[in-house]
Amino acid sequence: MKKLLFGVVLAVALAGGFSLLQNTAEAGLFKKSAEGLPVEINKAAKEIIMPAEVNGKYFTEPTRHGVVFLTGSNGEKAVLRGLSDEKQFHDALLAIGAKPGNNIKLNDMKAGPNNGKSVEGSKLDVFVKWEGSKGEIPFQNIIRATVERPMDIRFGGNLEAAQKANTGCVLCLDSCAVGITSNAAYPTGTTQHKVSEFYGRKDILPPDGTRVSVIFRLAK
Amino acid sequence: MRIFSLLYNTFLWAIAFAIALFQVTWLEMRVNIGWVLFLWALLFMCSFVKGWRFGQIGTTINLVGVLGFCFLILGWERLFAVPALIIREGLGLNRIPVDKINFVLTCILIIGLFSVVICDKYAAKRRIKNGT
Repeated sequence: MKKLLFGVVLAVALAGGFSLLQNTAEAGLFKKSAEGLPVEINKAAKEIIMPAEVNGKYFTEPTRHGVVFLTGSNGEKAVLRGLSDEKQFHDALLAIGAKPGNNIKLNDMKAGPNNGKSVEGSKLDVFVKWEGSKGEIPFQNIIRATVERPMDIRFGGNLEAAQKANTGCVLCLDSCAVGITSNAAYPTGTTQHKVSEFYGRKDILPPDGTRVSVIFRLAK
Repeated sequence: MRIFSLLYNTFLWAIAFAIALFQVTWLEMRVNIGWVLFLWALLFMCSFVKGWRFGQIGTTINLVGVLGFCFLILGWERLFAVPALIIREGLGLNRIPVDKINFVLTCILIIGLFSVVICDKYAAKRRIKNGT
C-alpha cells in the first residue's frame, strides 16, 4: 500500500511538473497573443501581408496546412505558423475586394479520392518573403507535393466554420471547408485519401523559427 | 537509484510510444502527440508499483531497442527531428530550435545511461563487500 501511494505521488509529481512547464512556457516566455499581430492591408495594391514563422516540423512530416494562426487548435500543424488571427484575415480579404466562395460544407470533406469538390472564390496570388530571400517567393515554391499541380489559392470564406472550429486555418493546401483560403488545385478528399502529401521545402525556406511575411494579393 | 533507473527506462518507452502514434497522420493532424509524454508518469507508476528493476544491462538493451525501433520507423533524417518535435510540442516550447532540444535529449540519454551503469556497478561492489 505504501509503495502504491509513493508511486502515485511520484507519478503525479512528474505529470504535474510536465503540465506546469507547459503552462509556464505558454503563458510566460513564449506567450501567445490571443489577438495576434495585425495584418498589413494595402487596398491600392489589393494585398494583405501576414507575419508568420517557419515551422521546421513539416520539412520532414506531411501536412495539409500551409498557414495556421498560432493560437488555433491547428496552430502547430502548418508549414508556416501564422501570427495573425484568421478571422481578422477574412475581414481584410473582404476589405481588398475579394469575394468568398463559401461553396464547401463540412460534409464535402468526407469525399472519396475521386469525387472531391474544389474551393471557389476570388483567386489569390500568394508569396512569401523574409530577410535575405531573393524577393517574393511564390508559395508554390516553398511546398513539395507528392503529386505536383499548379497552386490555385482561392478565398474560400468559411468564416462561420472557422469561428465554430477555431482551428486557426488561414491557408490550406487542399480544398477545405474551414480554412479561410485553400487550394482549388486539390479537391476535398486529397489529404484524407493520401492522393497527395504536402511538405515544407527545407532547401528553399529559411530555418525553423525564422520570421517571414506571407503576401496575399488579389489576382488580376 | 532504482527510481532514477525507472524514470529513465519509462521515459524511453513513452518516447517510443509517442513516435509510433506520430506515424498516424490522421491523429498527428488533430492531436498534440506530445501529450502522450504524460504516459511517462503512468508507466513509471506501474513499473514502480510492480517493483521492476533495471540494471545496466536492462537499461542498455532498452536504449538500444528503443533507438533501433525509432530508426526503423523514422529513418536517419527524421530520427533527428521527430523525437525533438514531439517533446517541443508536448511542452509547448515551440520556439526552441530542434537542434537545442536534440542536444539536451542526447545529453539526457548519454548521461542517464552512464549514471545507471555507474550506480549499478557501485551497488554490485557494495553487495559483494557486504557479502549479500
